[in-house]
Amino acid sequence: MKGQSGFVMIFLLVILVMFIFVFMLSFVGTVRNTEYTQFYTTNLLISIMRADTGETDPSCRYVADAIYCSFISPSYICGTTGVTCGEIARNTIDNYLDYDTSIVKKSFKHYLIAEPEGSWNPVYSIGNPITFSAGDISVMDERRKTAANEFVGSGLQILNLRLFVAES
Amino acid sequence: MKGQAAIMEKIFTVFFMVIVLIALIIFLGVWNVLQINVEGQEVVNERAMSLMKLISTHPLLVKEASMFDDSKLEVAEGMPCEGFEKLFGKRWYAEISDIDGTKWSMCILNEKNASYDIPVNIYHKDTEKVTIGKLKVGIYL
Amino acid sequence: MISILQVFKIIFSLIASFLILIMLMQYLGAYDLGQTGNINAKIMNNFAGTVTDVYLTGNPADFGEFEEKKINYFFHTEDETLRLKSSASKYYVYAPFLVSSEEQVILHRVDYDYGWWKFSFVEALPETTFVFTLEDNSAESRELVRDIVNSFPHTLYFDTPILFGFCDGYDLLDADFCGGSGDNRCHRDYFLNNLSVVGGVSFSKCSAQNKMGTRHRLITISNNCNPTYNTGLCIDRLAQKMYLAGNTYDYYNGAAGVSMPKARTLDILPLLIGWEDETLLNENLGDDYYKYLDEKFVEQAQFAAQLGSERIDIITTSGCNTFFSPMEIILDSISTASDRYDIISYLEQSKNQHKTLVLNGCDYQ
Repeated sequence: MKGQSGFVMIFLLVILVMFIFVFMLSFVGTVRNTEYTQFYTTNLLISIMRADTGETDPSCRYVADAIYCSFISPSYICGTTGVTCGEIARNTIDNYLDYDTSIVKKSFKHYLIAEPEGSWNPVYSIGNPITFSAGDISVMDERRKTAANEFVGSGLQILNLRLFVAES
Repeated sequence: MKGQAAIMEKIFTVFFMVIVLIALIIFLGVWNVLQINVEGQEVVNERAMSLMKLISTHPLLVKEASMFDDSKLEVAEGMPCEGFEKLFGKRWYAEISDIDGTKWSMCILNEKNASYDIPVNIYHKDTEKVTIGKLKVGIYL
Repeated sequence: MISILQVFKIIFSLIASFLILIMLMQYLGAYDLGQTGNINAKIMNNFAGTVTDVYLTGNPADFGEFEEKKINYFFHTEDETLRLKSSASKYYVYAPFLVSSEEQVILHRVDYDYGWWKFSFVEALPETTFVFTLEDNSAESRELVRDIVNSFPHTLYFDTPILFGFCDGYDLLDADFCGGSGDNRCHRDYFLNNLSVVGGVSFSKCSAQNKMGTRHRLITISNNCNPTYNTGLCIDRLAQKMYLAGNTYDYYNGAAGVSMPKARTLDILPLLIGWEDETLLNENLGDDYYKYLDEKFVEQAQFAAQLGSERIDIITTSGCNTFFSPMEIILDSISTASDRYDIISYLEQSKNQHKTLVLNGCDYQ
């Protein structure tokens, strides 16, 4: 009987040791390259902003201009497209953020939002503020996300363009 | 019989003590190797990040930071790798692709590598249009 | 006879102490004696990273980890690696750089911008005061001083001061002559603002060496450099020669009738940074750096010119051909030139031709 309890104790001991090993192994951190994610996010934002929409109309030639135009003159029809600045911006961005286009990484999800700064509050009509966003809104629910931002505009009409990236 | 059981007990006790000690030593070894691997990967990461920043800002390839000039890329692709190795070191490659599928590459070898990609712009000298593209930088292991 | 319970207790306490040891090692890892190699490696990596950052951003940065941890390093120019004196490990830096001394340093990027191409390198200096004696006190000499001083950072808000002053005979002139006041004195921008003040001064050969310490570096600009009695660096602008630590160096002042190129500081800076220090092979560090920077500059200039010339073949249009043709000729001359000073002269021409291209909408800045 004494021998048996001895064996049981040793068995328990071995189990304890194994648990401790597993516990220790969990501390071997995975290499999460946050610097890369930040660089990726910042570069994605400025690359989107500086890209041509395909239109030559100066109000909406570049994506950043088109987004800004959608807040300044939301009903303006951009160039030869027959669509508004906001629509052309959104179409261009949606194309870039589409995984099939192979620009963005499939391991990330992205969300871009433009917000007027300070006291500027452009509206379609009273109580109906102008907004602009593109991408996957579920990024905003993620606890761990990376952000980048750029300002567009001048004087008292400044837009804050923010891009959020999270692992998908 | 009782004596035999006592001896067996002693033997098993010593046996298990030895097993536990050996397990501890092996564990220390594995732990060290894992740490070294982590550090090794960090070295590769750092090299890749430095290289990405160097390449995406170099005046021989870009019009401005993270905006490549397609005429410069075309010329660079035709140059032997040694010229760029003097600027950026050895054992790396870079591949820039445009959204329409056009690709330019430098210093490509058929070897095991770790790579990163980031979005960039491509400025087309002839049309003066700016498109979005991707820079992929790889470190040969 | 030891009981199973006691054995269990022994083993358990062994494991518990092992775990505590591991926790301690994790948190105090940096100070573990066996980790010294690791600390040095981390410092070297940090330094290499800081050099790269300064090269990429152009922002000056202090680096004090060498002084804090008291490790000895040196820079090997042939393969651009940092080494520890105590080990064979190499740390690569992928930007041309020159480093002086082994303690608290400030890192700064120096640029030579030609519009279509730019050559940059990073310099690392400890606390230093550059003292000028203008035996040749002409406007051109003061212009040279201005270019030299502009190659260093304004260190007012940094930990490593780089200061400037003058020496006239037995006097070290500062307060009234180097600008600024109190603790702000003699930092770069104040010195430059005050440079015209010495316009009328007739300098005598500097004999104030006893007032200068190891942190002072004397630069004499003279028509009469005598290596036997001039200490420090002596620059003879007209003869286009420089003297340091018994060696003579060529100095390019620009072609006759052409305004002095900023690139003449490319000859001077390596000597100012390497100075009279010795390499591990007991050679003169200034000498080493002079050759290194020369080689780097020529190599990169010719590579850039080759790429630039081939690019012109791709982008030239009928409207811009008249502007691209001369540029292509200049670039081809650069890539085939064998004399370094010819390269600098052509680069100056390329800078002007590039401005013409930009003005006519043929290329961008």
